[in-house]
Amino acid sequence: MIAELPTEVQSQRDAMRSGTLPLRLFTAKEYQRMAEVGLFGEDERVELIEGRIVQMAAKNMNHAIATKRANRCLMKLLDERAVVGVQDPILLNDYSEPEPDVVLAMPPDDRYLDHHPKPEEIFLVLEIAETSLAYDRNEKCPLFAQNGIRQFCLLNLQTRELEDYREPGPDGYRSKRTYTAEESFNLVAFPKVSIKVSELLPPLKTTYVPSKRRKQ
Amino acid sequence: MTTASKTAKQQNTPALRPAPKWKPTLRRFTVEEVYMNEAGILPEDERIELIEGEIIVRGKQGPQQASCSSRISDLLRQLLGQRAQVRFQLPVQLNDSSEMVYHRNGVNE
Repeated sequence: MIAELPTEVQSQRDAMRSGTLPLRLFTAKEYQRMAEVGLFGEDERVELIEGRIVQMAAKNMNHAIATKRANRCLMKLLDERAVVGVQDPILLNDYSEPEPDVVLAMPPDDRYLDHHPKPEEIFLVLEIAETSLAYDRNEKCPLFAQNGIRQFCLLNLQTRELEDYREPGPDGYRSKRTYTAEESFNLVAFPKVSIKVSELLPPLKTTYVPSKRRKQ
Repeated sequence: MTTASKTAKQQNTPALRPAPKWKPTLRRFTVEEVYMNEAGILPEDERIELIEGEIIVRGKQGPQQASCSSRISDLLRQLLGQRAQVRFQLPVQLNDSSEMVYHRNGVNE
């Protein structure tokens, strides 16, 4: 039905798709307005990364369990000392408002009634990655570093390891350490709090046995 | 997938599934959304275009381009008279996700 496009038109189209046309970048304010007026669907998962509204990866089961485990573990260990945000927006800068998997922010929670947590209020950002590993490591990690997020942890579900990034700077994090599932890491903001990586990971085998259904 | 889980079982190690690589994709807009967008989100006088779902910044017209495009529009009006409507830098809707969006810099009719 559609005639084949002349080569130059096709290459022009490809150029567009690869982003050579100047995209209109959005500010966090404009992005928030769009959400307010209902431009995004209820179940649409998007975030603002450097002025671009990007669609987020679909969550699989492992990812969902790891998020729940991390949330529970951090809540238990820190109690009132931090506010745990799960897939909630943070305001990195005027053009970036990502929604990391887990964020530890300064208490109390009612200080965030009029703004999303800003870098100086954030103790830790944790991203859980399976399919989005390369993106989280190569794009998100430097972005967090440039905006002064003091600790960024990347939970790698493929290798079952945790990458701990510290000392943020304009060129990225100066310190990176990788921990295996059996090892423990601590928090920059709370050095005495030690977390075993396996506590955040989804179990390899389930011990859950569904109770037998009653015969009707 | 089955071979991978078999080898993992044999070695008694967890099955590491090679996960497909995920790349972020831009949230694309429809023509309808861009109009909704005008509800006080983007400045009214901004020169933008919707091209295949992406909102593109249109650069400022240089004096040469401006003079050339207004000459063209004058010429076409002169030649065609009532036979066609000459729309000068006004939107055309190509499909749901492409529209050359308006701009208001005093030259529109």
